[in-house]
Amino acid sequence: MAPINFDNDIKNKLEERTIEPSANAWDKLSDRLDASEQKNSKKGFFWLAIAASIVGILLVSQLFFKNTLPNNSTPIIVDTTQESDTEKTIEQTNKEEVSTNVEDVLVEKENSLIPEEKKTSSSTFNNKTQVVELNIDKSNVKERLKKGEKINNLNTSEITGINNKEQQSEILLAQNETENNLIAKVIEVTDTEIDALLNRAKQDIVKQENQSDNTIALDYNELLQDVEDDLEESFRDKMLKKVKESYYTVKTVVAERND
Amino acid sequence: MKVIQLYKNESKLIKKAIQNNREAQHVLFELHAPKMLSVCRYYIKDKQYAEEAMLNGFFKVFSNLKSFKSEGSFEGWIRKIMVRESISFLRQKKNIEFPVEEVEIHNDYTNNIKTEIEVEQIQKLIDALPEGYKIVFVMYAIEGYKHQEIAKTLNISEGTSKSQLFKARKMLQEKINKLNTMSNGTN
Repeated sequence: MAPINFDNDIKNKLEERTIEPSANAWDKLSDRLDASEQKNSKKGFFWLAIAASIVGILLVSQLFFKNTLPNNSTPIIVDTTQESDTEKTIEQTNKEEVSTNVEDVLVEKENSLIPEEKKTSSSTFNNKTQVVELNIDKSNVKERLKKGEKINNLNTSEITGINNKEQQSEILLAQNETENNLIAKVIEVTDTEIDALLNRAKQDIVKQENQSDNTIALDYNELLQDVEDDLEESFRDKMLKKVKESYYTVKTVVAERND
Repeated sequence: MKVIQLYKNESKLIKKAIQNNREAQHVLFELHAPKMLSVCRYYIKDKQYAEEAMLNGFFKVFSNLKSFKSEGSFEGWIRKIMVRESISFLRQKKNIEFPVEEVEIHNDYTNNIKTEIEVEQIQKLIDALPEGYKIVFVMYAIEGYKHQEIAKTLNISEGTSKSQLFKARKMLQEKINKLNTMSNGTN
C-alpha cells in the first residue's frame, strides 16, 4: 500500500497546480488555426482542381476512343463483309457455271431453232437473256441485255400479233426484216459476251483450283514440320550418344590412370 | 461568473468550436490551458517548451474536435492529447533512454509526504529524474495509465515499464527523504 499512498500524495499535490500560459499563447494558436483553415480551403480547391482535371481527361479520352473505336471496328465489319462477299462470289461462280451450262444448252437450242421459227427463237432468246440477267453482275451486260430484251419483247408481241391474225403486209414484212436484223445483232453481241463469261468462269475455276492447291501446300508445311521434329529428335539422340561415348572414355581414362 | 456559465455550456462551446468559431475556441482554451500547461510541465522541464507542446496539443484538439464523441470528459480527452504531445516533443529533442542499472530495493516508503514540501519542490524532484523514469512515473502515478498502455505508447515492454516505475519511485523516495531530513535539521 505504501507505493500507492506515495503516488497519490504526489498526484494530489501536483493536480492542484495550474500554470498560466503566456499572454500571447492564444494569439499564436489562433494564427496557426487561421493558417490551417486557409490551407484546408486551398486543399479543397486543389482537390476540386484534380477532380475537374480527371473528369476532363475522361471526357477527352472518351471522345478520343469514340473516334478511334469505330475505326477499329469498321475493319472487322469490312472483313466480315469481305468474307461474305467471297462466299457470295463463290456462290455466284457456281451459279455462273450452272448458268453457263444452261446457256450452252440454250445456245445450242437457239442455233437449232433460229432458222426454223422466229417465235421460238425469240422466246428461247428471252429465256436465255433472263437467265443471264439473273446471274451476271456486269452493268453493261445487263443494260445491253435489257435493251435486247425490250426489243425482243416488242418483236415477240408484234410477231405473235401477226401470227394470230395471219395477215401479211409488205410494211410488216419490211418491219420484220429490220427487226430480224436487230435480233441477229443482239444474238451476236450476246454470243461474244457469253464467251467472255465462259472465260471468266474458267478463270474462277482455275482460281479455286489454285486455292485448293494452297491448302495442300499447308499440309506440306505440316509434313515438313514433322520431318524437322524427327530430325531434331535424331540430333538429340546423336548428342546423347556423343555424351555417353565421352563419358565412357573419361571413365576408362580414369580407371587406367588408377592402374 | 461568466466563465462558470460558459463552463456549463461546454458542449455548446464544443459544437461551436467544431464549426471553427474562434470565440468558442478561445473560451475553451482559456478554460483548460492552465491545467494542460501543468500537465505538459510534468514531462517537460522548460516552461516555454512545455507551452509549445501544449499549443501543439491544442492545435490538434481544435483540428480534430469532430472526432471527440462526448463519451468521456472533454478534459480527459484533451489531457490524453497533451500527454502524447509532450512525449513526442521529448522524443523529437532526443531519444528517451530507459536506464536498466540495478537499484537496491528498500521498502522504506514514507507514508505521507510532509506538507512542508511544496509542489514546486516535487516538480523539481520529478524534473531531476532520468527521462524514462519520469515519463513512466508521471503516466502511471499521476495520469493513471496502466503498464500495458504505457508500454504501447513508449514502444517498450511491460516489464521495462514496471521496472522504470519502481526505480523512479525509489529515486524520488530517496530525494524526498533527504529533503525531509534537511528540513528537520534546519528546524
